[in-house]
Amino acid sequence: METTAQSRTNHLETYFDRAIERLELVTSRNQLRTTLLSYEQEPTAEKVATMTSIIKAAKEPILELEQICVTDTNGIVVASTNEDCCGRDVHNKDFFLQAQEESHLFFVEEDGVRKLFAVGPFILDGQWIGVGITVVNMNELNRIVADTTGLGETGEVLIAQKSPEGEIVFLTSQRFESEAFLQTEIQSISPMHFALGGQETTLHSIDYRGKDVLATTQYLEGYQIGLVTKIDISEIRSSIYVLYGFMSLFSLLFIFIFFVASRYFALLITRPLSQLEKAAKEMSKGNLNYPINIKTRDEIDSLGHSFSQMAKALKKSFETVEEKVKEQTKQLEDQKKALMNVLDDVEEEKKVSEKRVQDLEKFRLAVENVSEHIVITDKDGMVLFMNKGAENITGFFKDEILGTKAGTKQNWGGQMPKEFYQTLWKQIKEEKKFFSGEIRNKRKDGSEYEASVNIASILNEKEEVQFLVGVERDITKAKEIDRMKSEFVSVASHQLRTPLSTIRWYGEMLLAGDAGKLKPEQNEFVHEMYDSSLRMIKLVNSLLNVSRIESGRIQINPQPTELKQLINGVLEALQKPIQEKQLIIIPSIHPQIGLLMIDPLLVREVFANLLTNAVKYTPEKGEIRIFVSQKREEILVQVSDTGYGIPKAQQNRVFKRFFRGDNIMTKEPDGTGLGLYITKAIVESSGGKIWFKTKENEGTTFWFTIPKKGMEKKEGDRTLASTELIEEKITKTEESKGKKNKIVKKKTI
Amino acid sequence: MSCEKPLIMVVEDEANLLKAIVKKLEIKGFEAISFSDGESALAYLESGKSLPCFIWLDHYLPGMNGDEVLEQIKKNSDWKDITVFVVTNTSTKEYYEPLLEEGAIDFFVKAEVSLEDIIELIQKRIHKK
Repeated sequence: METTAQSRTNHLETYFDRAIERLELVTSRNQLRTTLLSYEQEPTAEKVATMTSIIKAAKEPILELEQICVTDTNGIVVASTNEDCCGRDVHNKDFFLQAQEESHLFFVEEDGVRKLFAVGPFILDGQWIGVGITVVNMNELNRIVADTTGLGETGEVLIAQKSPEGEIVFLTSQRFESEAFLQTEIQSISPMHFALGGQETTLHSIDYRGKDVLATTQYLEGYQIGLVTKIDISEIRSSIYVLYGFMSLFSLLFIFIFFVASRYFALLITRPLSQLEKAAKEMSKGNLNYPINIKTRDEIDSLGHSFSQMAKALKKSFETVEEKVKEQTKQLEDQKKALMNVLDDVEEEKKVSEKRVQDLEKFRLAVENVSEHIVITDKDGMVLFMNKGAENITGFFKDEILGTKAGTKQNWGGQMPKEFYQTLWKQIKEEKKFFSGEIRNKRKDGSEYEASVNIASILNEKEEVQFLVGVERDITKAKEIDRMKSEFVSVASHQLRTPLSTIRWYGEMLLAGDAGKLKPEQNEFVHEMYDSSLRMIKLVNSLLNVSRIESGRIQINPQPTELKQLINGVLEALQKPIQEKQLIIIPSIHPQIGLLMIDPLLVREVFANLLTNAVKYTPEKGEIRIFVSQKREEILVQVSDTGYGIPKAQQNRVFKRFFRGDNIMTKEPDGTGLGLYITKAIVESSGGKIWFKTKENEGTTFWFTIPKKGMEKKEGDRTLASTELIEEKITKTEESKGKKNKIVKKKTI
Repeated sequence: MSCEKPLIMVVEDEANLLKAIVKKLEIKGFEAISFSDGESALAYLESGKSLPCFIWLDHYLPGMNGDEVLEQIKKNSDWKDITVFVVTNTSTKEYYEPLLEEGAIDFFVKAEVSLEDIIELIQKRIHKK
């Protein structure tokens, strides 16, 4: 009954809400409101017509609406869908007074017809301008209330309101009294009192017919409507008795059938189960051979069979279980050891990784902060990384450079001839070789600078170029200093030559007796001076050569030259000391070596230096061998002697400027220490290599190569100054040691 | 032009060297006239006095340098057959070829030759003539 009551309440609430909504659809019409306001200020028939047409249009689609009226603020109906109503004065009606503030519902009986009025205010810009009234017929409401579905023969729904005087006024007819509408409740205490008092409850009461009823009360607070749903107690009771009868009968029958069936099934199941229980007990005692004989052909049969299988399996597994336990224990121990090892490895690996990260960071900081210009590019030269050094040297910022091609006009490059870059790229990208050289670059501010450049190709496992690392150093200043130094040496050397010529020539004349015959001792002294002047001239020429080679101004002028003739020329110039020391000279030149395109002046200087050294630093009766052989691409020259050799500790300095072996300083004080430096520079600038092997007091062998195709011509404004032509022209003969001066002519070279 | 009794002109701005070479030439029986600059040497040649058989011409001279003096000599039809040795102390053989093209007979670096070498060369030239 409560469910029915709740359902009716919901229906009613929806019904009332809808009535209010419909009214508010009318009172909220904008055109209607503005027309009403305008009408009140200046009433015209035209405005009435406008309002009437609006409300008629609103009423049209809603069948339940019987009428819509609009009143002005004085309560006079100014427009209505029912023209008879126009002009009626409702200002003293309850609903008009209440409707000025908000929408309300009112139940009205007019001319014996029950109607539901929904009334509400017209408000425009916060100002009350009139009242709207919709009249709804009660058919739907009566249908809801009269619906006794679920309420049996005696049940009904009552709805009521409290009158302003506090009386209960029924709003619809009652099931057993059709004239109850708007009648007041006489009973002092009835369920409706509770309902209108807001109490929602179920109670036992006596209704208007004097019958015992069970009533449920509801209250629609929004509309202040109470709702009572009730049914006669006698009807409820009779239903319950019938239900009891049926239920008792069914229960007895069910209990009986259940008892019989359960007994039967229990027997079916328990018998084999007890057999299984017994078997299980036996097995638990260790008797795994206990027979199970169940033939019920159902799940218990399968269970029995499985039990037998299990017993067999258990028996078998008991036999191997001990062995397995041992094996598994061992495996577990092994696994544990392995795990411990792995953990140790992981710990170790972690330490190594941490160390690597630290190393990498150190490495990164080092690369970032060294003064050299360091750039890392992809295989096509696109800059991926650039350090601070590169920023400082080039004047460009990283942002401007990353993503550009290194060494092009986009950044600092493009200052060298096209061929230079072609060679460079070929070497690093195709031949995958290290490139080293000097380059001219341009800073962001447009100034040029010279740099030494080293580029390495970083290859992946497939030997493909992955990255390129370029390291450059600004050598502009160093170059300038070097140029100044060379120039200084050059100027100083030239300046020295004039006074040296003077000493030489006057010495020569004194020794020749042009100023009168010298006493033996005078002759000896002048001779020392003369020899020294020659040594100084040689030194000056050597220094000039060094300065010229270092400045890169030496010209290479290849001419068809016969090596044999060239070597013989040098040997001839050295004849005197060779004979004096009784040295054995063994030259061996491959007969098939013909004319070579070499600069004879330069190659002669190389042979002159190596052979002069060999002669000078080989003791008497020693041996000097000269082998010239040809390899596939080059001519290989070997000059070996059985001389003093070079001390081991000094061997790494052999080709340095001014190097002289400690062991020969006292034996041969005459020497500039520049010969091998010049020799190496000439060989390397001609595309050859030079190296040596030496052992102190056993001898020294020098090898050098000349490309078979010859030397490449190179323009330059300097040639080498001679360092060999002034081998003692005037020597101390027997006479000069005290008897007579003699000038010995040197053979023409 | 006769070189029977050879007259040798020495143009050298270094007084010490000039003195030495003149002395040596005289010892060896040559007649030598010395000048310390190119202009005075050319003035002598123009004076109509007896022309030298050889000229010792320093390459580096104050005022007009050796190249220009050589050019003047070789331009003059009366002088062009005179044997000219160009000597220097500031350069090496890089000047060799252009000077020979201009007509110098040989080129020396002073410090690299002895007086005896020079006398020998002059004597060889006289034999040829």
